[in-house]
Amino acid sequence: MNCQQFDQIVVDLARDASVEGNPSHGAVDHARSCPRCAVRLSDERKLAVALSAVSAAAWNERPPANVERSLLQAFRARFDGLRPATAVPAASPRRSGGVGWRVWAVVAAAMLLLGLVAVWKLRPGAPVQRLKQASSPQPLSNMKAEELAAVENDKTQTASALVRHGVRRPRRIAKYGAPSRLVATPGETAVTEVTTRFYPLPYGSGLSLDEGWGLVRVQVPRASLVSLGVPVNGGSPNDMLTADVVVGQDGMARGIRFVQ
Amino acid sequence: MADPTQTSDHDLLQRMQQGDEGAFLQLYRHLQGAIYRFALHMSGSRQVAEDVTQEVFLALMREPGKFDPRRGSLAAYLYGIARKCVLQHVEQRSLHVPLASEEGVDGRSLPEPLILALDPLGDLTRQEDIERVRQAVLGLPANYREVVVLCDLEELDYAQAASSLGCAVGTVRSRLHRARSLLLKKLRASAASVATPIP
Repeated sequence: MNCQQFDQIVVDLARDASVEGNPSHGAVDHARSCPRCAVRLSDERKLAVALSAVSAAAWNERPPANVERSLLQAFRARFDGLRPATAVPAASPRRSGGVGWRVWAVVAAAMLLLGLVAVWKLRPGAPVQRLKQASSPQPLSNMKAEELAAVENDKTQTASALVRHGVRRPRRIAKYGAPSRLVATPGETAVTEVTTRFYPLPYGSGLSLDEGWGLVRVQVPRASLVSLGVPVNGGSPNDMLTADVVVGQDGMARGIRFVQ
Repeated sequence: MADPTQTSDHDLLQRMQQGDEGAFLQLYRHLQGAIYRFALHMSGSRQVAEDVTQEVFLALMREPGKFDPRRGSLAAYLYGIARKCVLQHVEQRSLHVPLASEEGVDGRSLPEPLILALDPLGDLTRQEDIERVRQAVLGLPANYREVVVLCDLEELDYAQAASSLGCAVGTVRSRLHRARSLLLKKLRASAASVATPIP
Protein backbone atom coordinates (compact mmCIF):
# COMPACT_ATOMS: atom_id res chain seq x y z
CA MET A 1 0.00 0.00 0.00
CA ASN A 2 1.29 3.47 -0.84
CA CYS A 3 0.49 6.81 0.78
CA GLN A 4 -2.20 7.69 -1.79
CA GLN A 5 -4.05 4.45 -1.16
CA PHE A 6 -3.61 4.97 2.56
CA ASP A 7 -5.18 8.45 2.34
CA GLN A 8 -8.23 6.96 0.71
CA ILE A 9 -8.94 4.64 3.59
CA VAL A 10 -7.50 6.44 6.57
CA VAL A 11 -10.84 7.89 7.62
CA ASP A 12 -12.55 4.52 7.46
CA LEU A 13 -9.62 3.04 9.29
CA ALA A 14 -9.81 5.57 12.07
CA ARG A 15 -13.57 5.35 12.36
CA ASP A 16 -13.57 1.56 12.31
CA ALA A 17 -10.80 1.51 14.89
CA SER A 18 -12.78 3.79 17.11
CA VAL A 19 -15.93 1.78 16.75
CA GLU A 20 -15.02 -1.82 16.21
CA GLY A 21 -11.27 -2.10 16.61
CA ASN A 22 -10.96 -3.80 13.26
CA PRO A 23 -8.34 -1.88 11.24
CA SER A 24 -7.08 -3.00 7.90
CA HIS A 25 -3.77 -4.78 8.47
CA GLY A 26 -2.26 -3.51 5.22
CA ALA A 27 -2.95 0.08 6.12
CA VAL A 28 -1.64 -0.31 9.64
CA ASP A 29 1.50 -1.93 8.33
CA HIS A 30 1.97 0.97 5.94
CA ALA A 31 1.51 3.48 8.76
CA ARG A 32 4.19 1.72 10.77
CA SER A 33 6.66 2.16 7.95
CA CYS A 34 5.62 5.67 6.89
CA PRO A 35 5.96 8.50 9.47
CA ARG A 36 3.73 10.85 7.46
CA CYS A 37 0.90 8.33 7.30
CA ALA A 38 1.45 7.37 10.93
CA VAL A 39 0.82 10.97 11.95
CA ARG A 40 -2.20 11.13 9.66
CA LEU A 41 -3.67 7.98 11.20
CA SER A 42 -2.97 9.24 14.68
CA ASP A 43 -4.70 12.56 13.98
CA GLU A 44 -7.72 10.83 12.48
CA ARG A 45 -8.00 8.53 15.47
CA LYS A 46 -7.77 11.47 17.87
CA LEU A 47 -10.47 13.21 15.90
CA ALA A 48 -12.64 10.10 16.01
CA VAL A 49 -12.23 9.93 19.78
CA ALA A 50 -13.01 13.65 20.12
CA LEU A 51 -16.12 13.31 17.97
CA SER A 52 -17.18 10.29 20.00
CA ALA A 53 -16.87 12.40 23.12
CA VAL A 54 -19.03 15.13 21.57
CA SER A 55 -21.55 12.50 20.56
CA ALA A 56 -21.58 10.95 24.03
CA ALA A 57 -21.95 14.33 25.71
CA ALA A 58 -25.06 15.05 23.67
CA TRP A 59 -26.49 11.54 23.67
CA ASN A 60 -29.08 12.23 26.32
CA GLU A 61 -30.26 15.45 24.74
CA ARG A 62 -34.01 15.42 24.20
CA PRO A 63 -36.52 18.06 23.20
CA PRO A 64 -38.42 19.54 26.16
CA ALA A 65 -41.79 18.08 27.11
CA ASN A 66 -43.72 20.99 25.65
CA VAL A 67 -42.76 19.81 22.14
CA GLU A 68 -44.46 16.47 22.77
CA ARG A 69 -47.51 18.21 24.20
CA SER A 70 -47.78 20.52 21.19
CA LEU A 71 -47.44 17.63 18.78
CA LEU A 72 -50.02 15.62 20.65
CA GLN A 73 -52.47 18.51 20.46
CA ALA A 74 -51.78 18.83 16.74
CA PHE A 75 -52.30 15.11 16.30
CA ARG A 76 -55.63 15.19 18.14
CA ALA A 77 -56.79 18.24 16.22
CA ARG A 78 -55.87 16.59 12.95
CA PHE A 79 -57.65 13.35 13.58
CA ASP A 80 -60.64 15.00 15.27
CA GLY A 81 -61.04 16.98 12.09
CA LEU A 82 -61.12 13.79 10.06
CA ARG A 83 -63.96 12.24 12.00
CA PRO A 84 -67.24 11.73 10.12
CA ALA A 85 -69.44 14.82 9.83
CA THR A 86 -72.17 13.08 11.84
CA ALA A 87 -70.10 13.72 14.93
CA VAL A 88 -70.58 17.46 14.48
CA PRO A 89 -73.84 18.85 15.89
CA ALA A 90 -76.33 19.44 13.12
CA ALA A 91 -77.11 23.00 14.14
CA SER A 92 -73.51 24.14 14.45
CA PRO A 93 -72.44 26.96 12.15
CA ARG A 94 -69.69 24.82 10.64
CA ARG A 95 -72.27 22.41 9.35
CA SER A 96 -74.41 24.87 7.44
CA GLY A 97 -71.95 25.09 4.55
CA GLY A 98 -71.89 21.34 4.15
CA VAL A 99 -75.64 21.06 4.20
CA GLY A 100 -75.93 23.78 1.58
CA TRP A 101 -73.54 21.87 -0.62
CA ARG A 102 -75.73 18.79 -0.27
CA VAL A 103 -78.82 20.77 -1.21
CA TRP A 104 -77.25 21.98 -4.38
CA ALA A 105 -75.99 18.52 -5.11
CA VAL A 106 -79.60 17.33 -4.85
CA VAL A 107 -80.78 20.18 -7.08
CA ALA A 108 -78.03 19.42 -9.59
CA ALA A 109 -78.97 15.75 -9.60
CA ALA A 110 -82.62 16.70 -10.06
CA MET A 111 -81.74 18.96 -12.95
CA LEU A 112 -79.78 16.18 -14.57
CA LEU A 113 -82.78 13.93 -14.17
CA LEU A 114 -84.93 16.67 -15.60
CA GLY A 115 -82.70 16.90 -18.65
CA LEU A 116 -82.81 13.15 -19.19
CA VAL A 117 -86.59 13.12 -18.92
CA ALA A 118 -86.85 16.00 -21.36
CA VAL A 119 -84.67 14.22 -23.88
CA TRP A 120 -86.81 11.15 -23.44
CA LYS A 121 -90.00 13.13 -23.86
CA LEU A 122 -88.79 15.05 -26.90
CA ARG A 123 -87.60 12.05 -28.80
CA PRO A 124 -89.62 11.18 -31.95
CA GLY A 125 -92.51 8.88 -31.22
CA ALA A 126 -92.59 9.60 -27.53
CA PRO A 127 -95.79 8.41 -25.82
CA VAL A 128 -96.45 11.76 -24.26
CA GLN A 129 -96.99 14.63 -26.61
CA ARG A 130 -94.77 17.50 -25.94
CA LEU A 131 -96.64 20.47 -24.63
CA LYS A 132 -96.19 23.68 -26.48
CA GLN A 133 -95.33 26.72 -24.55
CA ALA A 134 -98.30 29.07 -24.90
CA SER A 135 -96.57 32.18 -23.73
CA SER A 136 -93.20 33.28 -22.57
CA PRO A 137 -92.77 32.88 -18.87
CA GLN A 138 -92.21 35.98 -16.84
CA PRO A 139 -89.43 36.71 -14.43
CA LEU A 140 -89.96 35.25 -11.00
CA SER A 141 -90.47 38.67 -9.49
CA ASN A 142 -93.50 39.13 -11.76
CA MET A 143 -94.67 35.62 -10.98
CA LYS A 144 -94.74 36.45 -7.34
CA ALA A 145 -96.72 39.59 -7.83
CA GLU A 146 -99.31 38.38 -10.26
CA GLU A 147 -99.73 34.75 -10.91
CA LEU A 148 -98.30 33.12 -7.86
CA ALA A 149 -100.52 35.16 -5.61
CA ALA A 150 -103.23 32.61 -6.08
CA VAL A 151 -100.97 29.86 -4.94
CA GLU A 152 -99.90 31.88 -1.97
CA ASN A 153 -103.42 32.14 -0.65
CA ASP A 154 -104.47 28.63 -0.90
CA LYS A 155 -104.09 25.97 -1.56
CA THR A 156 -105.12 22.54 -1.90
CA GLN A 157 -104.74 21.35 -5.35
CA THR A 158 -105.32 18.05 -6.86
CA ALA A 159 -102.49 16.89 -8.93
CA SER A 160 -104.14 13.82 -10.16
CA ALA A 161 -105.40 15.63 -13.20
CA LEU A 162 -101.88 16.64 -14.03
CA VAL A 163 -100.55 13.18 -13.85
CA ARG A 164 -100.52 11.46 -17.16
CA HIS A 165 -98.42 8.64 -18.29
CA GLY A 166 -96.38 8.89 -15.14
CA VAL A 167 -95.54 12.54 -15.66
CA ARG A 168 -96.86 15.00 -13.15
CA ARG A 169 -97.44 18.51 -14.25
CA PRO A 170 -97.87 20.94 -11.40
CA ARG A 171 -100.65 23.45 -11.58
CA ARG A 172 -98.35 26.45 -11.81
CA ILE A 173 -96.81 25.06 -14.91
CA ALA A 174 -100.18 24.75 -16.56
CA LYS A 175 -101.00 28.31 -15.75
CA TYR A 176 -97.76 29.61 -17.29
CA GLY A 177 -98.06 27.50 -20.34
CA ALA A 178 -96.12 24.42 -20.98
CA PRO A 179 -92.71 24.28 -19.40
CA SER A 180 -89.78 23.16 -21.38
CA ARG A 181 -89.07 20.52 -18.76
CA LEU A 182 -91.36 18.08 -17.07
CA VAL A 183 -90.56 15.99 -14.06
CA ALA A 184 -91.35 12.32 -13.89
CA THR A 185 -92.35 10.96 -10.50
CA PRO A 186 -92.72 7.24 -10.97
CA GLY A 187 -95.06 5.47 -8.67
CA GLU A 188 -96.94 8.61 -7.77
CA THR A 189 -100.45 8.80 -9.15
CA ALA A 190 -102.84 11.11 -7.34
CA VAL A 191 -101.57 13.45 -4.68
CA THR A 192 -103.30 16.13 -2.70
CA GLU A 193 -100.81 18.90 -2.05
CA VAL A 194 -100.64 22.16 -0.19
CA THR A 195 -98.04 24.55 -1.51
CA THR A 196 -96.62 27.84 -0.35
CA ARG A 197 -95.84 30.80 -2.51
CA PHE A 198 -92.58 30.83 -4.45
CA TYR A 199 -89.63 32.31 -2.62
CA PRO A 200 -86.87 33.76 -4.75
CA LEU A 201 -83.47 32.23 -4.19
CA PRO A 202 -80.69 34.68 -3.32
CA TYR A 203 -78.84 34.72 -6.60
CA GLY A 204 -81.61 33.61 -8.93
CA SER A 205 -84.38 36.15 -8.46
CA GLY A 206 -82.85 38.71 -10.79
CA LEU A 207 -82.44 36.27 -13.65
CA SER A 208 -84.81 36.18 -16.57
CA LEU A 209 -87.01 33.23 -17.46
CA ASP A 210 -87.46 34.35 -21.06
CA GLU A 211 -86.23 31.10 -22.51
CA GLY A 212 -88.49 28.86 -20.51
CA TRP A 213 -88.30 27.17 -17.18
CA GLY A 214 -89.17 24.04 -15.34
CA LEU A 215 -90.06 22.81 -11.91
CA VAL A 216 -87.97 20.25 -10.13
CA ARG A 217 -89.27 18.46 -7.08
CA VAL A 218 -86.61 17.93 -4.48
CA GLN A 219 -86.18 16.86 -0.89
CA VAL A 220 -84.32 19.54 1.01
CA PRO A 221 -83.04 19.52 4.62
CA ARG A 222 -84.66 22.25 6.66
CA ALA A 223 -81.31 23.48 7.97
CA SER A 224 -80.00 24.17 4.50
CA LEU A 225 -82.98 26.32 3.63
CA VAL A 226 -82.46 28.33 6.77
CA SER A 227 -78.86 28.85 5.73
CA LEU A 228 -80.09 30.16 2.37
CA GLY A 229 -82.33 32.69 4.10
CA VAL A 230 -85.57 30.96 3.13
CA PRO A 231 -88.09 31.28 5.98
CA VAL A 232 -88.62 27.82 7.47
CA ASN A 233 -89.80 27.79 11.04
CA GLY A 234 -90.03 25.03 13.60
CA GLY A 235 -89.10 21.40 13.29
CA SER A 236 -85.73 19.72 13.42
CA PRO A 237 -82.95 21.04 11.19
CA ASN A 238 -82.56 17.54 9.84
CA ASP A 239 -86.16 17.26 8.63
CA MET A 240 -86.43 16.74 4.91
CA LEU A 241 -88.91 19.07 3.24
CA THR A 242 -90.46 18.54 -0.15
CA ALA A 243 -90.07 21.54 -2.40
CA ASP A 244 -90.45 22.60 -6.01
CA VAL A 245 -87.48 24.48 -7.46
CA VAL A 246 -87.97 26.79 -10.45
CA VAL A 247 -85.12 26.12 -12.85
CA GLY A 248 -84.40 28.22 -15.93
CA GLN A 249 -83.10 27.01 -19.25
CA ASP A 250 -79.63 27.94 -18.08
CA GLY A 251 -79.91 25.42 -15.27
CA MET A 252 -79.92 28.06 -12.55
CA ALA A 253 -82.51 27.82 -9.79
CA ARG A 254 -84.68 30.95 -9.51
CA GLY A 255 -87.10 30.20 -6.73
CA ILE A 256 -88.50 27.58 -4.44
CA ARG A 257 -91.84 26.67 -2.92
CA PHE A 258 -92.72 24.12 -0.32
CA VAL A 259 -95.14 21.29 -0.76
CA GLN A 260 -97.05 19.40 1.87
CA MET B 1 -33.54 -9.49 5.85
CA ALA B 2 -35.69 -6.61 7.02
CA ASP B 3 -34.50 -4.48 9.89
CA PRO B 4 -36.91 -5.20 12.77
CA THR B 5 -36.69 -1.60 13.98
CA GLN B 6 -37.58 -0.38 10.52
CA THR B 7 -40.51 -2.79 10.33
CA SER B 8 -41.65 -1.68 13.73
CA ASP B 9 -41.41 2.01 12.82
CA HIS B 10 -43.30 1.38 9.62
CA ASP B 11 -45.96 -0.50 11.50
CA LEU B 12 -46.27 2.34 14.00
CA LEU B 13 -46.51 4.81 11.13
CA GLN B 14 -49.35 2.88 9.56
CA ARG B 15 -51.21 2.82 12.86
CA MET B 16 -50.53 6.51 13.28
CA GLN B 17 -52.09 7.19 9.89
CA GLN B 18 -55.27 5.62 11.18
CA GLY B 19 -55.38 8.01 14.12
CA ASP B 20 -53.67 5.78 16.71
CA GLU B 21 -52.35 8.30 19.21
CA GLY B 22 -50.37 5.66 21.11
CA ALA B 23 -48.54 4.69 17.95
CA PHE B 24 -47.69 8.30 17.24
CA LEU B 25 -46.35 8.79 20.76
CA GLN B 26 -44.29 5.63 20.55
CA LEU B 27 -42.84 6.71 17.24
CA TYR B 28 -42.10 10.18 18.54
CA ARG B 29 -40.42 8.96 21.69
CA HIS B 30 -38.33 6.52 19.69
CA LEU B 31 -37.06 9.05 17.17
CA GLN B 32 -37.26 12.43 18.88
CA GLY B 33 -33.79 12.26 20.42
CA ALA B 34 -32.03 11.52 17.15
CA ILE B 35 -33.83 14.30 15.29
CA TYR B 36 -33.33 16.79 18.10
CA ARG B 37 -29.62 16.00 18.44
CA PHE B 38 -29.12 16.22 14.69
CA ALA B 39 -30.74 19.66 14.63
CA LEU B 40 -28.77 20.72 17.70
CA HIS B 41 -25.44 19.65 16.24
CA MET B 42 -26.30 21.26 12.94
CA SER B 43 -27.50 24.58 14.30
CA GLY B 44 -25.87 24.91 17.71
CA SER B 45 -29.16 26.24 19.02
CA ARG B 46 -31.60 24.49 21.32
CA GLN B 47 -34.40 26.72 20.13
CA VAL B 48 -33.80 25.76 16.51
CA ALA B 49 -33.51 22.12 17.51
CA GLU B 50 -36.89 22.27 19.27
CA ASP B 51 -38.51 24.01 16.33
CA VAL B 52 -37.03 21.57 13.85
CA THR B 53 -38.11 18.55 15.90
CA GLN B 54 -41.62 19.88 16.00
CA GLU B 55 -41.67 20.67 12.29
CA VAL B 56 -40.33 17.23 11.38
CA PHE B 57 -43.06 15.38 13.26
CA LEU B 58 -45.74 17.77 12.05
CA ALA B 59 -44.59 17.05 8.51
CA LEU B 60 -44.81 13.33 9.21
CA MET B 61 -48.30 13.83 10.61
CA ARG B 62 -49.43 15.84 7.60
CA GLU B 63 -47.99 13.63 4.89
CA PRO B 64 -47.12 10.20 6.24
CA GLY B 65 -47.60 8.72 2.79
CA LYS B 66 -44.49 10.46 1.52
CA PHE B 67 -42.31 7.99 3.40
CA ASP B 68 -41.26 5.15 1.14
CA PRO B 69 -39.82 2.23 3.16
CA ARG B 70 -38.06 0.95 0.03
CA ARG B 71 -35.83 4.03 0.03
CA GLY B 72 -34.57 3.70 3.59
CA SER B 73 -35.55 3.72 7.21
CA LEU B 74 -38.08 6.09 8.72
CA ALA B 75 -35.27 7.62 10.78
CA ALA B 76 -33.31 8.37 7.61
CA TYR B 77 -36.42 9.92 6.07
CA LEU B 78 -36.92 12.13 9.13
CA TYR B 79 -33.27 13.15 9.12
CA GLY B 80 -33.83 14.29 5.55
CA ILE B 81 -36.75 16.48 6.60
CA ALA B 82 -34.80 17.78 9.59
CA ARG B 83 -31.88 18.69 7.38
CA LYS B 84 -34.06 20.89 5.16
CA CYS B 85 -35.69 22.51 8.18
CA VAL B 86 -32.32 23.25 9.78
CA LEU B 87 -30.98 24.82 6.60
CA GLN B 88 -34.09 27.00 6.37
CA HIS B 89 -33.68 28.09 9.98
CA VAL B 90 -30.00 28.81 9.55
CA GLU B 91 -30.71 30.85 6.42
CA GLN B 92 -33.39 32.83 8.22
CA ARG B 93 -31.17 33.43 11.21
CA SER B 94 -28.30 34.57 9.04
CA LEU B 95 -30.53 37.38 7.77
CA HIS B 96 -30.99 38.72 11.28
CA VAL B 97 -28.37 40.20 13.58
CA PRO B 98 -29.13 38.94 17.08
CA LEU B 99 -29.65 41.73 19.59
CA ALA B 100 -28.77 39.63 22.57
CA SER B 101 -27.50 36.24 23.55
CA GLU B 102 -29.83 33.37 22.83
CA GLU B 103 -29.47 32.29 26.44
CA GLY B 104 -32.84 30.92 27.45
CA VAL B 105 -34.52 30.65 30.79
CA ASP B 106 -32.92 27.27 31.33
CA GLY B 107 -29.48 28.68 30.63
CA ARG B 108 -28.68 25.72 28.38
CA SER B 109 -28.38 27.52 25.08
CA LEU B 110 -25.31 26.94 22.99
CA PRO B 111 -23.32 29.69 21.30
CA GLU B 112 -24.34 30.81 17.83
CA PRO B 113 -23.00 28.77 14.92
CA LEU B 114 -19.89 29.87 13.10
CA ILE B 115 -18.62 31.81 16.12
CA LEU B 116 -15.58 30.24 17.64
CA ALA B 117 -15.44 31.50 21.19
CA LEU B 118 -12.03 30.18 22.02
CA ASP B 119 -10.38 31.41 25.11
CA PRO B 120 -6.64 31.68 24.46
CA LEU B 121 -5.95 32.06 28.18
CA GLY B 122 -7.84 29.05 29.21
CA ASP B 123 -6.35 25.86 30.43
CA LEU B 124 -8.63 23.63 28.47
CA THR B 125 -10.45 21.06 30.47
CA ARG B 126 -12.05 17.97 29.05
CA GLN B 127 -15.39 19.74 28.75
CA GLU B 128 -13.75 22.61 26.97
CA ASP B 129 -12.13 20.21 24.52
CA ILE B 130 -15.52 18.85 23.72
CA GLU B 131 -16.87 22.35 23.26
CA ARG B 132 -13.93 23.22 21.01
CA VAL B 133 -14.66 20.24 18.77
CA ARG B 134 -18.34 21.08 18.77
CA GLN B 135 -17.57 24.61 17.70
CA ALA B 136 -15.28 23.34 14.98
CA VAL B 137 -18.08 21.15 13.67
CA LEU B 138 -20.43 24.12 13.70
CA GLY B 139 -17.88 26.06 11.71
CA LEU B 140 -17.95 23.60 8.84
CA PRO B 141 -19.92 24.36 5.68
CA ALA B 142 -23.39 22.80 5.91
CA ASN B 143 -22.78 20.03 3.39
CA TYR B 144 -19.71 18.87 5.31
CA ARG B 145 -21.23 19.48 8.70
CA GLU B 146 -24.21 17.24 7.99
CA VAL B 147 -22.07 14.24 7.07
CA VAL B 148 -19.98 14.63 10.22
CA VAL B 149 -23.11 14.90 12.34
CA LEU B 150 -24.78 11.89 10.74
CA CYS B 151 -21.76 9.61 10.42
CA ASP B 152 -19.58 10.60 13.38
CA LEU B 153 -21.99 12.04 15.94
CA GLU B 154 -25.13 10.03 15.20
CA GLU B 155 -23.12 7.01 14.09
CA LEU B 156 -25.08 6.23 10.97
CA ASP B 157 -23.37 4.10 8.37
CA TYR B 158 -22.65 5.53 4.94
CA ALA B 159 -25.74 3.99 3.36
CA GLN B 160 -28.09 5.41 6.00
CA ALA B 161 -26.46 8.82 5.73
CA ALA B 162 -26.74 8.71 1.95
CA SER B 163 -30.44 7.85 2.26
CA SER B 164 -30.97 10.81 4.60
CA LEU B 165 -29.10 13.23 2.41
CA GLY B 166 -30.47 11.92 -0.86
CA CYS B 167 -27.05 11.35 -2.39
CA ALA B 168 -24.75 8.49 -3.29
CA VAL B 169 -22.69 6.58 -0.74
CA GLY B 170 -19.54 7.68 -2.54
CA THR B 171 -20.56 11.31 -2.09
CA VAL B 172 -20.96 10.75 1.64
CA ARG B 173 -17.52 9.16 1.85
CA SER B 174 -15.78 11.92 -0.06
CA ARG B 175 -17.56 14.66 1.88
CA LEU B 176 -16.67 13.00 5.15
CA HIS B 177 -12.99 12.83 4.17
CA ARG B 178 -13.04 16.51 3.24
CA ALA B 179 -15.00 17.46 6.35
CA ARG B 180 -12.60 15.71 8.67
CA SER B 181 -9.61 17.33 6.97
CA LEU B 182 -11.23 20.72 7.55
CA LEU B 183 -11.98 19.79 11.15
CA LEU B 184 -8.38 18.83 11.80
CA LYS B 185 -7.21 22.12 10.35
CA LYS B 186 -9.62 24.05 12.55
CA LEU B 187 -8.62 22.15 15.65
CA ARG B 188 -4.91 22.59 14.93
CA ALA B 189 -5.50 26.29 14.41
CA SER B 190 -7.47 26.60 17.62
CA ALA B 191 -4.85 24.63 19.52
CA ALA B 192 -2.18 26.95 18.13
CA SER B 193 -4.13 30.00 19.18
CA VAL B 194 -4.51 28.56 22.67
CA ALA B 195 -0.78 27.98 22.84
CA THR B 196 0.08 31.52 21.68
CA PRO B 197 1.33 33.59 24.62
CA ILE B 198 -0.40 36.87 25.32
CA PRO B 199 2.00 39.80 24.60
